[in-house]
Amino acid sequence: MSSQPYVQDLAPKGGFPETIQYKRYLPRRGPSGLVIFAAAFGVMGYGWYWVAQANAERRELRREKAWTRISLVPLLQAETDRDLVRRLEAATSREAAQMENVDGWSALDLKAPTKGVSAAAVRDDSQAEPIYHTKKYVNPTFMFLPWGDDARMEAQWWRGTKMFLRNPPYHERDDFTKEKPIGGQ
Amino acid sequence: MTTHREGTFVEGLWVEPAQLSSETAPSVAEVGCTSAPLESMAFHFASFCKKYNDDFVKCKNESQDPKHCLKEGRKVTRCALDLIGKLKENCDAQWTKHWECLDMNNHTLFKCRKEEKEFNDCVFKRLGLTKVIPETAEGATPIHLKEQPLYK
Repeated sequence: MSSQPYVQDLAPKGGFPETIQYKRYLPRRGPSGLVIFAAAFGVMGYGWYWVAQANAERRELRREKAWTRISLVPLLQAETDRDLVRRLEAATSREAAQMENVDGWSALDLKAPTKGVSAAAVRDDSQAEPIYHTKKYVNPTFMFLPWGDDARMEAQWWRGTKMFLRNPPYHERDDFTKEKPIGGQ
Repeated sequence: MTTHREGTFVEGLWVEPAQLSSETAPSVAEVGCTSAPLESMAFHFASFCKKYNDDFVKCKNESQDPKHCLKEGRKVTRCALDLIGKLKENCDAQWTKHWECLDMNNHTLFKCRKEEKEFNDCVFKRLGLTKVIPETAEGATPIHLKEQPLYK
């Protein structure tokens, strides 16, 4: 507007003394970006190298553990086989002793003709078909152990199962009588 | 190999006091070892009893019936008992140290390399058996012979 002289906050005549720093000072120094990236990847690469070595070593340790177990399989399987034969034979002889008055009963034999099983896989008391038709060996799925038998160890509360403690078997319940079985007519 | 399932017993456990009748199978002394001694002798067992183990496995591949391979199983057990007897006679101290170390270390083999080396050296010297881990890469040192392992 008017040409009045204006006042600026200037440096004194001759400039500021050297000891007062007024200009910005941001020197470009130090490693460049490329160098920093290279250093970072270098450190990481060193770490990854040892990770890979350790993984390879873990794989070999796992291989050693697996072969330790594989080497022992025949020994342990032979023992288990003998045990299974013993148990199944005892169960068979127990069942045969119990069913000796029933004619046509083949104890613990899943390939013997069973009365009540029809060729159409439905219940039919006039037919008798084996349960399995295959020639291969079939392990029995269910096992019945009479209550009170030596071969049966009842569930213990400290084993974590409460099944028997809460639900006594049918004919050991207090309100069971032969005349009035529970739930029967 | 064999597909026996674990039994699930709902109302209790099946403990069978009856013994195996001798007309089914002649009786054989059982190996009473716990898991640590078996683990330390596993590779030596594999090489000492290779024939009997292979026979047993081939027999098992034919049939899952436990009765089918009782004879081969007895041979395997007898061979194992033979090896255990030889180990007790020749390398008892080193074997005991190794499996006791394994028991202390959760059965991790890499924690007990020193005892294992002594045991393997004794077994090689007295019985001529070497521990070989199958399927290791050609030319690579086996893990139990590595000088500077990372896991120790």
